[in-house]
This record gives sequence, structure tokens and C-alpha cells, in this order.
Amino acid sequence: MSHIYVFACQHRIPRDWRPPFSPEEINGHKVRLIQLPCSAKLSTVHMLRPFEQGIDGILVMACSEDTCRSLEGSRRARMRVREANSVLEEVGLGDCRVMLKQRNGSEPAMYRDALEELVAQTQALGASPTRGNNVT
Amino acid sequence: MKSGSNLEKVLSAGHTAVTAELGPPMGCNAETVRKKMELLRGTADAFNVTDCQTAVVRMSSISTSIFLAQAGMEPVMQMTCRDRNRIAIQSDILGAAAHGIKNCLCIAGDHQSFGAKGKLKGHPGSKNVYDVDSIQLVGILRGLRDDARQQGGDPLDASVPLFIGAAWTPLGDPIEIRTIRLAKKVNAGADFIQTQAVYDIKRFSEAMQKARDRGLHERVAILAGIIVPKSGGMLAYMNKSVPGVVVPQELIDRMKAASDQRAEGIKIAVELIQQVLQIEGVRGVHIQAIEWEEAVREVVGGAGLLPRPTV
Amino acid sequence: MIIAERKPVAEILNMIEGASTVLVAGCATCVADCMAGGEREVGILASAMRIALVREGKAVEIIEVTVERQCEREFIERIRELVEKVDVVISTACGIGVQAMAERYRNKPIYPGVNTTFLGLREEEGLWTERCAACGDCTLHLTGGICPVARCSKSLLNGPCGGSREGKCEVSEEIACGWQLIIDRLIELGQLDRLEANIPPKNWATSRDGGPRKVIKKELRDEKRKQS
Repeated sequence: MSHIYVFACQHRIPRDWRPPFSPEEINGHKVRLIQLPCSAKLSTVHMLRPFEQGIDGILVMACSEDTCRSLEGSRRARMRVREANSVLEEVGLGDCRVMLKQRNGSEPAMYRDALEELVAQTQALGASPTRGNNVT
Repeated sequence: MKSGSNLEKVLSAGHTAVTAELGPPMGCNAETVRKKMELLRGTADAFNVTDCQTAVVRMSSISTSIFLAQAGMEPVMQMTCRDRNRIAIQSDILGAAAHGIKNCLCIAGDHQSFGAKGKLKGHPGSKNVYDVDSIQLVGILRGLRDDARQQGGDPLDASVPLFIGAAWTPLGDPIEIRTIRLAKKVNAGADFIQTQAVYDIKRFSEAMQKARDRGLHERVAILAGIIVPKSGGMLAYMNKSVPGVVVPQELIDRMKAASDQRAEGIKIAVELIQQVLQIEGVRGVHIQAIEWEEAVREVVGGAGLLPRPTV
Repeated sequence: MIIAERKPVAEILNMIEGASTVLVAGCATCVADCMAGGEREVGILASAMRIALVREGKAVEIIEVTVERQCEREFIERIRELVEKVDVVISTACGIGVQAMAERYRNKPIYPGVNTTFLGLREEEGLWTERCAACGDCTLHLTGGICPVARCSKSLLNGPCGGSREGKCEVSEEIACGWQLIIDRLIELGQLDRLEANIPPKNWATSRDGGPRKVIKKELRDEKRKQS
């Protein structure tokens, strides 16, 4: 069972998944869904901290860059995802544990497909080497 | 006479001057130097000895120049600003002069990163100096000669007999500065100029016109640079990659079409010499046959410049 | 501004070998602007270190703090409590900040978390370039406000070498020829004639070559008060 964090722009979250009814499991994967007002709110360190606790991957759901309501938000998220992946690679976790999807829809199917893609990617790297970490 | 060097005498006597290049070996074998010397003996009035060109460590310019001087062949010792500060430069010049070296060419030198650009490793991590630039270096040499004074102001026991040279890249970028640069070198005290390789006669003539407009050709002896081409590929490469070298397409095509490219290269070099010598203000030629010293005699002879005058 | 670049995590981990508590201390001034060692980067570095240490099975506590300016005693004094409780401090300030910390906290090992690279500016998003070599004798008025010491690879003072080509330096296609920039600007200003004058050898004694430098403003030195 993979453990995935999902950071999503509020405009990309399916209607029935909004807090407080967010799913804790999708397609058999343990998921924590965090709603953001805009993907621009996502900082690089937000994407690194969960890996200290041993998660397997992060999915970032943003708007397509030309429709981001904060204009620059989704573009900035793309840069930060790249930065997070490069830091993760530097510490031996591979360069593809954070996946960004820039879409205009908000259907659950979109999430399921992206999650499967991300899980396949992270499983190819092996389980997260920090899994089970209790050091805080 | 400023230095009494053969090159200076040849120019003073009004002859067309010829200089040729000798690259020191990557090692300490004096025999290699002597072989090159014998290939070149009698082909020119003085021989440029390069100073770790392309920032590759070679036998030093000063010691190689001493070999030449001892064998009765006059060196033009090249001195870059890359590897020495003004203390080392002046100290080396004094030593060279004591060994009878009278000509010195002042150049900035290829950046140390060059050494790693070809097949060699070079020393791209070395520290460069550039305490002074090539124009300031010309001025320092003039001070050693005319004022018998070091750059810092301390006196010397005697003035240093030097014939001072500088380089000129007439077609280099930014083109707007090239005549100014030449003028600064002349004002600093350059006695002779050796130019970057000339292939585009028309554009070189235009650059010479600009130099003449300032009267520079009367204050300095300009020797046009001639690099003997080995192949069409080499010409195309230089045109594309060597700053300040412009090779007309028809010359590249002509070279590529030739059945014997080396023979054609010598023929082209001879024609270029004849053409540049027609330009007002060109007082001679500086010939480089890179790792092909055998070609020099044929080129100079072909241009009707042999034997060299005895002055 | 002073530009720096974060050191590789592996190099930093090597420095802290054997420590069980580490303070990662950032600086919110220059190195924050160039995204090398401000609060944001302290967070990233600390997190990266924790992940790497967990992988190695090491329990090291990493504490984070960022001060306004590490080159000022008043600011670094404020984190005394944190500094004193850890084994080692990784400072992500420039070399000045690291040394200011080392002077202030004499019994604490203070190690650099960044490589201080140059004095420059942000040219574009994610791109910083050098502008000043701090040579101690500014002559920007002669060269169109563009510095040949810092921006010519050979620091030539009398114009470009023969290696300039289509605006690029002979060292690399990635480097603009500083002299091309100077000449373009002087042509725009109608001041190209300023380059006609021969510039004599520079006095580098005001640069690093004169040894470590100091600036003294006599009026502001109070002889009666002992300086600490």
C-alpha cells in the first residue's frame, strides 16, 4: 500500500471530495488530500517534509498554466515541483516522487489515473527509504 | 636603432620583413627545437617563439628563444600577460635581454580554459594573472628601454635594448574598437605589429585604410599574418571558430576542390602574401605554418622573398 | 548583493559527522534574495538533511533558524540560546556571516552551508550574474557603467582581446564579452572616444592583492570608547 500526499488547488478538487469528506484511500492507496487555495501556495519545503515521515510520493493537482486564477500560480508550482524533485534526487530518493498534473477538469477519474501513474513510478524506485521513520 | 635587432634593421633598411612562427615542444627535448630550427633557418628575419599558446604547458618561450639566439637565429620572444605579474615579466625580460634576445611580442594570451578545449586536459583550474594587459605591457617594455626604469619607478643599471611588438586583430569583434586598439598599442610604444591571419584581402584593406587615416602605418611596422592552410576543413574551421579570422567562401571551396590540398595551401599562402604586400602600410608578413614548419621555406620562396637580406 | 549557492547535501553531512544536534542558521538578506540561504532554503536544506540522515539510520536533531542579517552582531546575538544548545552550526549565510558567527561564538564549530560566489545581481528568474570584483578603485565612469575588471575574463583595462566574437567571450559561448557590452553602451552614449586614452597599469593594492582590507572612517571612531 503506497502512501501518497495529494496537494490540490481548490478548483481541481472533485465536489464530493472536499473537506471534511476527503477520501483517505483511493484505488487501495493511502492518501492524504490537502486542499490549497491555489497551487501557488505550495512551497518546496511543503513537498519535502512529508518525505521525512516516509511517504512514497506526492501528487500535485494544479490548473493549466493559462487558466490559473492567480495568473502565475501554476507556473510557480511547476518550478517548485522541479526543485523538490531535484532535492529528493540529491538525497537518494529519485527524481520523480513528486508528480505535477496541470489540468482543467476535476473528476475523480483524473486523480485515479494520475495516482496509478505516480505509484507505478515510485514503485519502480522501490519503497521510500525513509518509510517507517519515527525520528522527528 | 632602438634594439639593433635584425628585424629592426631589415625594416629600417626599407626591406619587406618576414617573420615565421616556431612552437616549442611539450617536453624538454632540445633536439625537437633544433630540428624545427633547421627547418626554418634562413626563411625569415626573425622567428616568433610562442608562449604556452592555447594555454598548454610547453617549453618556455624564453628558454626556447635562447636556443635560437645561441644558434644565430633571431627570436621574437612572445610574452603573455596570462601567467606572470609585472614583477615576473620584467625579470624575465631582463634575463632574456642578457641572453641577447631583442624582440618581444606583447600579447594578452589565450585564457587558461583553452588548454582543455581540444584533446588535451590543460589546466583550466589554474589561476590567471592579468596584472597588466598587452597594451600596458608594451608601455612597460618601452619604459625599460627608453627610460631604463621599471614600471614601479626604480632605475635599471642600463636601458634594455628591445624591439617591441604587439598583435592586432583587425577584423575582430567589436569591430568599432579595432583601430582604436591599434592606435593605443602604437601610442604605448609598439615598434611592430603582427596581425591575426588575413584571408579576406578586401576587408583587411579596409581595416588598413582606417589605420592609414590615423597615420598609424607611418609610426609602426605592420606585418600581415599569414597562416598556411592545410585543408579546406581547416579554413572552414577557422572561419567559423577562430575570432577575428574571416575566410571568404570561394577560398574554402577552392581548397576543398584541390586534389593536393597541401600544395594548394602553399599556393594560396603565396598569393595572399603577394596581395597583402600591395596594400599601403603593410611592411612585411608573419607566417605561421602550425606544426608544418617545412612549408615555410616553400611559401617564402614562392613569394619571391628569399634569400632574406643581410643587414 | 552577495551571491551564493547551496553546497551539496552530502558535503554538508560530511561536515556534521558525529554531531547529534545541528542548527541550520539562515540569513534573510543577500543569500535569501539569491535563494541560497534564506528562511525558505534553510527549510529545504534542513528537510533534505533529515531525509538523508534517516536513510543512513542516524538520529540527528536538525533545528532551523533564520536571522535578519548574519553579518551584524546584534542580530546573531539573538540566537545565542539556540547556538549554545547544539553541537554544530551550519550557517547558510555568505562567508561574512559564517565568520561573524564564528567570531561571536568562539567555542562553537560554525560550518558553511553555501559557497559564496560573487557580487552580482539577479538578471532573470533563476539567473544571477557577477557585476563587481570589489577592486577598491572604481573606474566605471570610463567604461559606460560596465566593469571590465569583473566582466572581462582577463580583466583587461584597455579594450577587448582578440578573442571576442559575436558578443561572446573566448572562454565560453555562455559568457558575454564584457568589452562588447562596454563598447555598445559607449556608442549609445556617444562616448566611444573615452576608450582612446591609454589606461596605465592598475594599482591592485586596493584590491585583494594589498592583503586583507579595512575601511576606516575616522570621524566615526571614538577613541574614548573601547570597541568590542
